Amino acid sequence: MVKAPAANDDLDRALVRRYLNGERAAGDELVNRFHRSVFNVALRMLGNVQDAEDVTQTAFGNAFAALDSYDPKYRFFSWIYRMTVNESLNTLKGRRDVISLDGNFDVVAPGGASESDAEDRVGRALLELKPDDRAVVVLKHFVSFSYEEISDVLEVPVKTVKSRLFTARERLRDSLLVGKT
Amino acid sequence: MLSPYQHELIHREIDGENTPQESVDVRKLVETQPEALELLTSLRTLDALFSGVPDRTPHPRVRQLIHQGMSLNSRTSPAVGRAEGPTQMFTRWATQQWNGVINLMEEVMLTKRVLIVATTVVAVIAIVGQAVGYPPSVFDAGTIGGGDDMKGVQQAQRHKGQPTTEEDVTLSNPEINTLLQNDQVLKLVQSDVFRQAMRNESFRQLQSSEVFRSLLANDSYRKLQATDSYRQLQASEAFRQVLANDSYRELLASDSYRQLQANDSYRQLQASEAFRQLQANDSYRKLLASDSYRQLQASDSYRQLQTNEAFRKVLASDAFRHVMANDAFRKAMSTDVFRQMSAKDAFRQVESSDVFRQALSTDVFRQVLASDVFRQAMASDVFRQALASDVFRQMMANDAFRQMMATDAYRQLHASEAFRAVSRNQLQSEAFLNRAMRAQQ
Repeated sequence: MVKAPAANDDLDRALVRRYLNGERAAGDELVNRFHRSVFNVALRMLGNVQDAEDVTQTAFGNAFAALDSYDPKYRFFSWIYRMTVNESLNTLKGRRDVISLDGNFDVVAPGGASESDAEDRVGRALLELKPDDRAVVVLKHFVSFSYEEISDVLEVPVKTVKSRLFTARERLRDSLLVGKT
Repeated sequence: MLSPYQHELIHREIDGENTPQESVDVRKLVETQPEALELLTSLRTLDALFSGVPDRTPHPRVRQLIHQGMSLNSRTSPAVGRAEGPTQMFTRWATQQWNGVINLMEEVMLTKRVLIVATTVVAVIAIVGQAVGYPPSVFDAGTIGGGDDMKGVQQAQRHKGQPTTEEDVTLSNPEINTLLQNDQVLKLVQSDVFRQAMRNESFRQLQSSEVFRSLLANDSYRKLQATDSYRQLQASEAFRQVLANDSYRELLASDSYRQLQANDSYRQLQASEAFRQLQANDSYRKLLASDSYRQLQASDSYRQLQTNEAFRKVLASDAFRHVMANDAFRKAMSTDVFRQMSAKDAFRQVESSDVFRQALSTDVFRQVLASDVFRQAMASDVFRQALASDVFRQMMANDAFRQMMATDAYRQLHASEAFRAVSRNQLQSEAFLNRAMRAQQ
């Protein structure tokens, strides 16, 4: 499971402020804090390492390009994860326009070991979910966000978060656990 | 049977969202209801399965590229800015540029996606080229009816048994008379190229085919024809040169091209918003028009790319960076269609031609490509069928027809509402051609 950076809103806000004041190192620190978890969110959303890397870069690129418009009253992590999820959804949409998802599952990191059986099974089951449902599952189970945090990231009511999550899990139970429990 | 509330309670227990009292309620529930126990157990198993999925570490270059992206957009602090003189600033800037090039080169060598960057950039041109060149040809071609000077008459005779005669048609359609009273049209139908085109069997077959009749009735096609940019494109010298280009003709006549036109993914790609955005992208157009890019296209093998000076120049260009950062580009190049296309020799010959490059660099091409009506036309079934038809392919190989298409008179004829009205009906079309043939004598 992805370990999201320890929630530290004050630290994040301070880093943003320092970066906007011209302190490059503060931006580096923001990247260092979040890039791995952002990459893993994108990876679980997309099931493909290269796409996930692209989304990671794009999400940070967009975030830093728009940092001037960042409102400190909101959490930075909500902002960066929102960009990640939205960029992932855009990628999926573009992919759906031209090719099928079939056969596009590839989670092996460059130079890394082959994925585990669990990762393979979970990855495939996730890709069978609707992208909006998948986003909720990923943020819940891979980043350990609360309903409220997911609601902030996705900009949907908590009620919607729960509905999507519960429905998606029922489907995942069927696809992953039938005959195994 | 669990109630919706009990379902939610169990889900929330897994998510750690229950209050202490609610957790007590869940424990009581699972003790009394086997269904609740089963749900809780399965959700815990599911959660454990997710927990067993390892965290992945992105390739180090991802973080490096993010940092570099920040460098390019970084806000230099006032203090730092004052401390640096012009030389230091230039040195720092040059170092960043060089690092950017090196990293892009590494991308090319290291990742399977970017390994095909050059290939796919080339393929983009090929697609644009087809999208530009071929469809307008269809539009030009689809509206004249008839066959050669004798066959046109014979074909009309097939309708003699019908209640309506050619004369009836002619008399009842003032458009035909209007057309033939037009000096330009009369000059056209009396010209050698027109006569030669009429003798072409494919042309005759095409005119009588249902797919072209449908195309003429297609709203998107009609809207496209009505746009100024499309008319300008038709009238442009660059466009004429592309149509007359041998490599381009070879491409149009190839089976691989035909198969491509029939490919659903290709069609979807052409119809996609991402593709439209890419075509409208200034940086993309500048890149295509650059000398260094052209040299790159002419390189013999992509294995030599890494030492190719032209390639380095492309990578170092702002245009290339902008294109690579363009979301539409990344989406477009992620399709298999690009990869398949890049293997086609005919494409490469076309895209490396001077006339093709010139055509692509014109504003009018860009306007047509970026227009919604063009995209809609490309997405229509009838349009695709027309492109894939044998008769059209054969006709496009006909020199006389291409010469005729390049004439101003033909363009005027084609643009006239009267001619379009006539062309929509086979009987009227044949009557017009018969009258035209008689006018030649």
